[in-house]
Amino acid sequence: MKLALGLYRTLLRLLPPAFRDRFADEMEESFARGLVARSSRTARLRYVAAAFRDLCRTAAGEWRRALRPPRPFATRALHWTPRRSPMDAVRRDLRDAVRSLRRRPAFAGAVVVTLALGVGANVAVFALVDAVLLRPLPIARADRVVGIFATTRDRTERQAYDLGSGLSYSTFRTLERGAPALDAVAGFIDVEIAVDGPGGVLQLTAGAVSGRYFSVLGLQPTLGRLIAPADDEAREPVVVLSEALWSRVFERDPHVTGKTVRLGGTPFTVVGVAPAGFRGTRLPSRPQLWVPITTITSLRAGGIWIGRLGQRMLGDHPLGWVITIGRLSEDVSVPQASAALQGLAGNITVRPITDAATLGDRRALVTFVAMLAAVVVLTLLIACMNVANLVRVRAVERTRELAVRRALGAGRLRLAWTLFGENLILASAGCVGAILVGIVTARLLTAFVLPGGIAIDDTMIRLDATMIGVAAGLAGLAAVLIGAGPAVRASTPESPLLFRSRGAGSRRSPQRLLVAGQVALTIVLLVGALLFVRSLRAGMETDLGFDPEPLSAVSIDLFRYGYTPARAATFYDEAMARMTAVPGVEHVALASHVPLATIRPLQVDTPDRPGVMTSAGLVTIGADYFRAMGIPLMAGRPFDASDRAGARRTAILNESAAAALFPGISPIGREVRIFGELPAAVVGVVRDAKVESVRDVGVPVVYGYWRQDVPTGGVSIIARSARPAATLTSLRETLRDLDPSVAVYDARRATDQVDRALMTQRFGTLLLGLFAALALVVAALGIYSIVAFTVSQRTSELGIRIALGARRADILGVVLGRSGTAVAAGAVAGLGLAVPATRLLERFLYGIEPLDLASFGAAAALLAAAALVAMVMPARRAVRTDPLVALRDE
Amino acid sequence: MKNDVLLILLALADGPLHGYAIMQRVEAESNGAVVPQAGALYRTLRNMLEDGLVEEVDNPEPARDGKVRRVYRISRRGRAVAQAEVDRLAHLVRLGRSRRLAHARPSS
Repeated sequence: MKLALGLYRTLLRLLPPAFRDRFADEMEESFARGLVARSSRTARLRYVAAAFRDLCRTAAGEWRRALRPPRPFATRALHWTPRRSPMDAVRRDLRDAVRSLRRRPAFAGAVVVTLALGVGANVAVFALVDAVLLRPLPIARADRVVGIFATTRDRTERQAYDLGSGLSYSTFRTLERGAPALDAVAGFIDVEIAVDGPGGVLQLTAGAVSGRYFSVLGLQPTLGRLIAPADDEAREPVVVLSEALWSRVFERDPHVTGKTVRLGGTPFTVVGVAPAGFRGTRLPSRPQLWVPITTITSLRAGGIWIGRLGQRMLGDHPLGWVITIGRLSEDVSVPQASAALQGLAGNITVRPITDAATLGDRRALVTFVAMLAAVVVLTLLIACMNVANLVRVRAVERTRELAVRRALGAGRLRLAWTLFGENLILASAGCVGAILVGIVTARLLTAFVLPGGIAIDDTMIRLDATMIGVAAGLAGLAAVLIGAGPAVRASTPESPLLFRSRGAGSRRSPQRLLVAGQVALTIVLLVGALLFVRSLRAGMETDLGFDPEPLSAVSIDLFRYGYTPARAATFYDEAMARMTAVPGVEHVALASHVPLATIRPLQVDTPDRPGVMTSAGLVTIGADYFRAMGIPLMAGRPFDASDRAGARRTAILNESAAAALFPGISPIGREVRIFGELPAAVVGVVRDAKVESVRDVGVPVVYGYWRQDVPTGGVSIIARSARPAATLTSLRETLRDLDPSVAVYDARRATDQVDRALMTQRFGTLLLGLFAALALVVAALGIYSIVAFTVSQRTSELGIRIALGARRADILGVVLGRSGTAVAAGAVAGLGLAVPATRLLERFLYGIEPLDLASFGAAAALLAAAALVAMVMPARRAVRTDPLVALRDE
Repeated sequence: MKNDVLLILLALADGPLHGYAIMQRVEAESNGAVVPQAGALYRTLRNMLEDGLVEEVDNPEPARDGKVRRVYRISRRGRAVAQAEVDRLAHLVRLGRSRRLAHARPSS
């Protein structure tokens, strides 16, 4: 429904401005109300179709009316001489073009569909590039807003802009009181909370923001007001809703301000609605509401540190959790601001907010999107080559007609225009098709997640006037590229020579060049697709360090529902006891993190080397965790009953943590500390398992025992059993029985988690596979058409040869020789091109090299097979040429 | 006179309405035979405004979203035109009935 409405809104722009200004709002409203009134899907579809037809008709009628020259009666009789107007000739040519295209629906259809697919894919990807890279944040003068980060040692790029690179609360407040080079400073943190909605509890992301947050971003409320500095100081429990949440949950109620919403059990008063489209300042997370940062401790937001630190977070604690942004003063550049802030609060980096919004590994994102763009541009090129081929064949077909027209005195420009007009019409139709294809493709893209955990959602990709402009521009450009050649040739003086018989004039055909180009580009796409397929397989077969097959897991966050650690512990005990009793379940364990999900690294050191920090994941687990996961113990012992609450804290390290923290010595019995606090004795070492992604190598992990330190956030309950699907159901039911009010989320089998972790590979495989298959079909068609064309052009020659006793092989040689050479040359060029092109993919490939011989070989073989199939049919026709028939034609 | 113009005038005879209400009313009063579309409706309305058959007034009570919605009112001229048309049609109907061209007699 939202899609239809957006499309209708876009199409309203087609109306002439006068009519649009007056009625567009009302029409949109009428359409929306009519749409809502229809209950069934079919009725809605029929309604939308009728409405679009009506809109197109209205636009056409109104434009006709708007463009009609005002002509008083008398003047018209005297001066209006339509027959001689040059515009009239143009119009007549266009009408002729439409007619002649109608007579060749297959040709017109092929061109329009090819253009629509080629341009449409580009439009959708451009929309994505626009949303993610060009203007990721809908904020005022985004170039003046910067992110301010602490730079610490031992920080890989992956972790930049993560929790650890925020500023500590006191540093942030210092900067907020006044910082050189910055007009205003604000801080925020995105947290997961439970919100009591009308239909039950919602798990939402909330932005806890400081008072100046919205003014730094230069945002204006849709309704009411936004969070202001006064709220911050007063620790006022007020909340600003996102426009999406206001629409979804509050049905755009204009009197929503003053209402109370319970966030993590605490009542908050709604004071306003944020501007439409604003989704926070970090693309991977998407806050639905905003509260003052000083209320963060009353939200029951999860996470080991909020629960542990409590009010100390808002004091002098050194943990850098506040993500800080600022607006640059006039005439100050980003490097100048960076220099001015140095030394004020440790090492500080300043980055433009548009870069910072896309999380740490921006390069991966940029490369991935660039790859996407390259793929669709290649596809468009292949499509254009194919269309150029079709158009050329058609131009040759028309040479006689054009020669006649020229002989009868048609001007060169006129002839060129005749051909060009046809292409213009095809391009326009292709453009309309492209917009539809673009909308559908953009819709399909929303099923994927970009590197950096950025979910592509439908609020991100908007098809607006810019996109329509891009589509029109690309289609127009394609029309020029495709049509220019034949049009120019048709208008050249030598044209009368074309009166000569068929068969001549096609010696130096650019067609073969086009086919070779198509083949080359297709090979590049095929190699890319095959690399992704092999990488995906390698990813699926990789040793994860644990055994995903028998595992299933669900997540819960009791602390959002007001549980105390003691009550939570009872709940977990009971849940694990009940699950262990389920037949078929072998091991049950709880864990604060499951492999292949993101983890926030914490700083760990040892008393032997104080201050030498190692970034390590901290995972709190149940005693049976390693047995459930199938992670082998390498030294020491697992957690057991002796590690009870109140006893000496214990920890287990993975091999990488052991190597990093205790180089060269046995860690058993030694001590580790987190943030210089929480000392724990190491009792065991386990083998490494993948932590966040299948590409992880040597990520240190410190395991803690849950009874000693009940995790104050979400946990997963993991069960190992022979029938993981059935176990998943009993897991869900068990937890629901224990407390029906607690939402169980993220129920999944571990294999699903692995699939999710291979998302980039999967996305790449699907995308490149799809486009490569398309390109292969198009290239095969191109090869077919050139061979068929050769055969039809040289029928008489073939007839003579056969009459003179040529053998089959000779005939095949004549027909296939040049085309075959073109294909072979294209294939070689394509393989050559693929070598540098696949460098782009290196970052996304796992387990194989970009210069993978198997992929290159398979791509060449696939193409050869397709080319052979495409050549066989016309070649057979050539061999069976009847010399009598062929010669009669002459 | 075009059928849709008359249907709109009839819909507005009881009092001013906004665009969507006109569409609903026309659809209901034509027993679903005419399903107006937004574009066609507003084009007709625009022509009727230019011909002085209807007038545009601001709705005194703002809608839920706080926007002032325009409503359309039949003009004096529009009323006269509608009356003339209805009279003309009534005459034709009488004529048709008297020559036994109607399916049934009106119930009243």
